Amino acid sequence: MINLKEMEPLIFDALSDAFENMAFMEVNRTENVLTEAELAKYICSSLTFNATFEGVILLYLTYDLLAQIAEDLYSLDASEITEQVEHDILGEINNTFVGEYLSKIVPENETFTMGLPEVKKNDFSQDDDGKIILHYLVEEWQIRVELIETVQKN
Amino acid sequence: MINVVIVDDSGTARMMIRKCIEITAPVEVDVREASSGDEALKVMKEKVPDLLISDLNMPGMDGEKLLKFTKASLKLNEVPVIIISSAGNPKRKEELLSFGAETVLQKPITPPVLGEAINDLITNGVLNV
Repeated sequence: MINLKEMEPLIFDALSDAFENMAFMEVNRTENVLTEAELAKYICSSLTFNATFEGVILLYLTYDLLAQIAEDLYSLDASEITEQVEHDILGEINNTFVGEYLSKIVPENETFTMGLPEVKKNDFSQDDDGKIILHYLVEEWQIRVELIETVQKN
Repeated sequence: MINVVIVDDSGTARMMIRKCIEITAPVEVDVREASSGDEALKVMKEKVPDLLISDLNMPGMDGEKLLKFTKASLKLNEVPVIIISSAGNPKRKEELLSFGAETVLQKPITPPVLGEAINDLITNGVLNV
């Protein structure tokens, strides 16, 4: 079973590293929980991994935040920021975030594997069982992270 | 001029790597792109590049297989390879270096990081300009 108290600081650090290094954006914790209606406006990247435990990390961001990153990081004009570009950026951020997170939890002499990021829209599960759900602010944009343990290892 | 092949399944990631190279490379760069390991092999066999930069985690032929194919090929085995990976733990990096990668860089890639890696390859005589 995932221990939230142990995992949250590592998730926060990994998320901060990913956003600060990729987009020069600061990450902060927030107590505000996104409602179902708010979450419907989000886009999600899902990424499976096999490390000290097998699991999935889902990263929920808004299109506004992705467009801002595309503009700042890739110097793209609004006309160049297509949905595919935003999906690619979301996948890259989640890939980097999960890589950073797993590097923190996996011992140096062990390896881990990661799947490929998959984009999900409007098919979010509202079932909170067995998930760690965390909310953060990236600058002024709220994001959500879900960590799900799928297979526990001995 | 250096001839570089960039491999990543994400078009946006390829664009980012291309920009990083164009900003930091000490000489003019001719960049060709491939969206998979299979496509990269075709592109490299058409014209052998001076440098291969590949993402690790890709569908189909991933960066590790591409690295192994490249190093096992009589035509391509001298091409220096930079692998870009999200999985940055030391054991994995050691493995990739043992398979023949010259450098393993952890995401996110920034111009200074990629520029330093390319300059190191030039300084060490691995990449001839």
